[in-house]
Amino acid sequence: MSREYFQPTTLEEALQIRRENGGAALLAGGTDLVVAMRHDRGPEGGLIDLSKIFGLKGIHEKAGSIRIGPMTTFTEIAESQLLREAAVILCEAAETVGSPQIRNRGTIGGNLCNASAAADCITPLLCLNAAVELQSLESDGSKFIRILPLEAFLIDSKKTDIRGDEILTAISFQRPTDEMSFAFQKIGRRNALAIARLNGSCAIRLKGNTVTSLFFALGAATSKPERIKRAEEYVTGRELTDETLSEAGKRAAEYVLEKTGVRASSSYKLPVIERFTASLIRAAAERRTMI
Amino acid sequence: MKKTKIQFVLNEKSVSMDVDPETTLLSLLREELFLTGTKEGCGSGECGACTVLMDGVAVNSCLVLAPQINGTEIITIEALETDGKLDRLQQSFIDHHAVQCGFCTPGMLMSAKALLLKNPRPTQEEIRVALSGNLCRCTGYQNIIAAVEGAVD
Repeated sequence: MSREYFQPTTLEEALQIRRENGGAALLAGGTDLVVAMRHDRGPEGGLIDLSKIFGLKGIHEKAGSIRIGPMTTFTEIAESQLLREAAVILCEAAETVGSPQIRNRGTIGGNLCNASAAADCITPLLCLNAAVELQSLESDGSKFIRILPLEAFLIDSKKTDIRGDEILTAISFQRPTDEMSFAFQKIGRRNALAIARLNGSCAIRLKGNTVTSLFFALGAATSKPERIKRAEEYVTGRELTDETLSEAGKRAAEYVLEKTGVRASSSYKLPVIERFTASLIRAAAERRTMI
Repeated sequence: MKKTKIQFVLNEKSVSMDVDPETTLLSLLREELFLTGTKEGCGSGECGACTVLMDGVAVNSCLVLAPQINGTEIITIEALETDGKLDRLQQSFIDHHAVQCGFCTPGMLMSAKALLLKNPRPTQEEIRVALSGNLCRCTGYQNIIAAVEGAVD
């Protein structure tokens, strides 16, 4: 297999290279891939560096749909005025990634495609019901576009549904209505440079004190960041009371135990998940705009 | 991997060279351009000793592949001093005893420089966040933070 370094400047060029070099890995910010290369766990084929493709960067809104280029860095996300107004949990999650240096290089597309169970930007996007856009080239040179819910894109730890000839070209979601309020939380060993022991996001809509809609996702709990539907279903339609939250926490912990089995970390993690779930849903509810 | 040609601006001088694509910016600086002020600590983006400025923002040079600097501007610790005069930050580190063994110092200075370029009057909290990707194991952080505060107008 030829090991070449490609540095395309347009998406079209990148898609062509991708089509012709199935074994080549995509290089975004490099904050995971370059570390892997240092430990001889790098790609066997060549590298396709996406950092010079201007069109893969940036955050835009059109007709209520927010579109984030995959090469947008965590710093750019954290500092985006548009996202601060429309989806502040994504900014808050991006702010907790690594360190300033890592946030200046690491990208949201890399975060999604690397698909670590602890990836900080995934649970907010799951709660925003985000979709990913993947592009590839057909044999006749025309573009083929697939749009998948993020939930379906994430298969397992470090495994996504991206095909060998595809490139992630956008992450998009509808601007949430003012009725929804959000929270992101993370537990790590220290503030900076800590990979999450647990992270999670919640989006909630209430009518009075009754929950009418809930999205709740945990990261680093199971093998991939995922919505904990058992907790969502339990809480939806109920009064938001301490009892409801406590039961939601128990159901989330039960689900995680079923998925992972008993592990060395279980005696720590399961009680933490119970409380974390309650705290996160409470935090989201407390941030709602009073109407 | 086959060598690739890159062009970039290094400490205000234009550079054009062929590089092995798997070389990191850190190795390029230290081993090919002999700018050894930038230090290698962990080599995996955890310690910040190798921090340089890339297009004005702090990056870990151990995590940047050489071809990725193509078309960018890199500033290293060697450029902080101009015409024999130390940068205010450097003088402040001396004045505040913010250097003990000195290994983390170039990285600390570059992270602080990146902060002051973007935000000339940071709060102490903003300084702490800006230095949160830089580890020091002997001087202690208090004097380092005081030194950065001392360099603010």
